[in-house]
Amino acid sequence: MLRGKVGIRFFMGVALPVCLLSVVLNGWFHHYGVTPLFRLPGGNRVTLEALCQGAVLGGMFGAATLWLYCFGIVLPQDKLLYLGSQCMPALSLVLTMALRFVPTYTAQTAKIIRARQGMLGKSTEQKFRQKMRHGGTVLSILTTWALENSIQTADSMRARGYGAAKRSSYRRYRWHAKDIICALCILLIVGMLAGLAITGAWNVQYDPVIRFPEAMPIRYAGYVIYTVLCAMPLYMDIRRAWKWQRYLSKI
Amino acid sequence: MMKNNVCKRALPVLLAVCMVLSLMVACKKQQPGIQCSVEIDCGYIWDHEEDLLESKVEFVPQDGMILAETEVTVEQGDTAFDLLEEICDEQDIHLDAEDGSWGKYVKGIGQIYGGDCGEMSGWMFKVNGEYADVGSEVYELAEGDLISWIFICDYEIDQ
Repeated sequence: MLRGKVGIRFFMGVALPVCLLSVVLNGWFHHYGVTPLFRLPGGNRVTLEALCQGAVLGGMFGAATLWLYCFGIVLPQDKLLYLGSQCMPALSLVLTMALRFVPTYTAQTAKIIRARQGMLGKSTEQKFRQKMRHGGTVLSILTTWALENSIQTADSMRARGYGAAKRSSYRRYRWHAKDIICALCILLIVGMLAGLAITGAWNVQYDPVIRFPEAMPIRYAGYVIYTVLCAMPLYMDIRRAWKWQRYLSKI
Repeated sequence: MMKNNVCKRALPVLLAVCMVLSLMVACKKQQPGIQCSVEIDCGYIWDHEEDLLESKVEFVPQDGMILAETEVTVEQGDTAFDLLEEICDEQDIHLDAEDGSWGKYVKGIGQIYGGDCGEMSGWMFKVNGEYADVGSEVYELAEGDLISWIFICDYEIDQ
């Protein structure tokens, strides 16, 4: 499991409520369907078909939420930036600097305030005007430091040859043959699934009767392909663990 | 002995008087009901069959009458919408209405929704053969009114 208990708590706290919300909202506002269940105060009835479609839509939203969560764990910010730096070095550089901006300046402001406290001592009672003056001084110190820092950064970048000629960068992750094969397989599978979805082989009708599409063999092939896609990371993890155990036992 | 006799004869008389009085009170309290008739017609759909959603074909009756002309007794002050609600409840017909800016807006009757047969399709109601000026929640029923709910597919053509 990627995150263990934290992951389960995310599922229960975010993904599941999203799904349930969809069920409730769909049942509350849509009243199509031949199977009424109970009556709302306004006079309309909550139907089974509306609840089912809400559940399916909610499942889709919940699954998308979970997927994005896992994506954030598997591909954290630094790896994403690394990807960017390979394709668009200038953009990823600007992005890095922008992302660093807020934390760095916040830390520097705290430093300045602490330094002033060390110099002048902490005053317990301060009128509004004194507080404004204090804030203004800190701001001017921060601005001075920021300007100087940016000049320093520019100088050090120039010393390292930025902008002089084409730069090569350190490659932490390299493309291997099996990576390319894996990527191509995934692309192929996703393409097939997208094509199947477009043909409408998986469209279910909810309004006004729940009706499944006719059973075509291509639908079931699609299910198998999707299972293969989802099982890929599982297979990789299991294989890695098994290999690790094997090597450990050989020591 | 005399007292017992008097009581025995007074009791039935008292009972009779009470009954007559209660009948009179009950008759006075009961207001006269209004006789109206209502029908639900989606026959215009068959003129625009190519626009109809496939999923709804089985819900359109052959003659287009979801509800044939039915006589109903309503109370004084009931509106056309009240009548529709009552008759759909009674006859187990699906009804979906929501509060709109002009009162109740009927989205769908009998699983046939506005928009199912072309973008401009929807439910409208006529009173005695003419379109009403007001919404169904406002129009108060009069004696002998015929309320027809018609599913209009194209306002220009279907009249």
